Amino acid sequence: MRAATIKPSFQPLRGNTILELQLAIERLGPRLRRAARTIANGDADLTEDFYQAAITELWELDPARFDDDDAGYLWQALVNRMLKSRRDKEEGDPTRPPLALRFR
Amino acid sequence: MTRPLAPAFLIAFAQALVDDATADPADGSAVSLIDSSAAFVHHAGYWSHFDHRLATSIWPLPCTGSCTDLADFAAEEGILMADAPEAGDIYLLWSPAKKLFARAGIVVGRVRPVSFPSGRTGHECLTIDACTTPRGSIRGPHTAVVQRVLSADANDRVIRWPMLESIPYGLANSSASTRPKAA
Repeated sequence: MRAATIKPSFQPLRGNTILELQLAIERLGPRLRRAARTIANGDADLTEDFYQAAITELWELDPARFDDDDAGYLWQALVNRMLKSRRDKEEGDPTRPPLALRFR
Repeated sequence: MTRPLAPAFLIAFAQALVDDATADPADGSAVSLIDSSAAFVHHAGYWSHFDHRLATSIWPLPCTGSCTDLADFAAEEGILMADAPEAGDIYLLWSPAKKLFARAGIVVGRVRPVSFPSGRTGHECLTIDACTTPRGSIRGPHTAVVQRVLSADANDRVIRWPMLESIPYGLANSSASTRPKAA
C-alpha cells in the first residue's frame, strides 16, 4: 500500500501595511527632502530633523488608509508637520526675540 | 435550536476565502466577485452562520456594501466599540482624508500594542481583508491576511457583533434606542 502524502500546495496570502509605508517613503521621500530643505532655509541639520518628523508623521498616519485620491491630503499633512517642527524649534530658541519685537 | 453566534466560525470561514500566495496572478484567480470589504464581511458572516437545516442564517449584521451603513447599524445597536480589538471583531478603518470608514475586515487577533510619538496608541493586528493588496491597501483585487495597526485614537472602531446574541429575537430593533451607545 502506498503511503499517502499531503502536499501543502496552498499558502494563504499574507500582507503587511508596513510595505505600504515603505512604498510611500520611496515615492514621497525625495520630494519631502526638498520641501524640508526649503523649510529649513538650507540648513542641513534642520533639513534632516524636519524630514524625520515628516516620516514619523507618515508612519503614524498609516499610508494604508489612503488611496491615490488622498495624495493631496497626505502631502499637506506632512508639510504641516514639518512647519510645526520649525515653529517648535523657533519657540524653543532662547535667542529668539519676543513676538512683539518680531513684528515691529 | 440553531448554532450560536461564534467568532470562531467567522474566522474559520473567512480564512478559507483567503487567496493563494502561490497562485499565478495572471490566471485570474485573484478576481473576486465581492466588490467591497463590507460585502466580504457580510458574505463571510452570513455563510459562517448559515444553518442548512433551517435554510437561514443568524448573522446579525445587515447586508450592505457600505462601511458607513455598517457603523450606523452598530452604533444604533450599541455594539460599536472603541476598545482594543478582539478575535472575531469586525474592524472599521477610519480614513482621515475622506472622513469616513474606508474599510471593514475581520480581526484574527492582536499581535502587539503600538505607541506613537504623538501619544496616540493602537494595536497591531492580524486581519482578514478583501479587496486589498499584500500591502494592505484600501483597494485591490486580493483577499489576504494583513498585519495592520488599528487605533481607537485614529477613530478606528470595532463591531462586537456576538453581543447581539443576548438580545431576544424581535427585540433587536424595537429596543435599540434604550440601549447605551458604546462609541
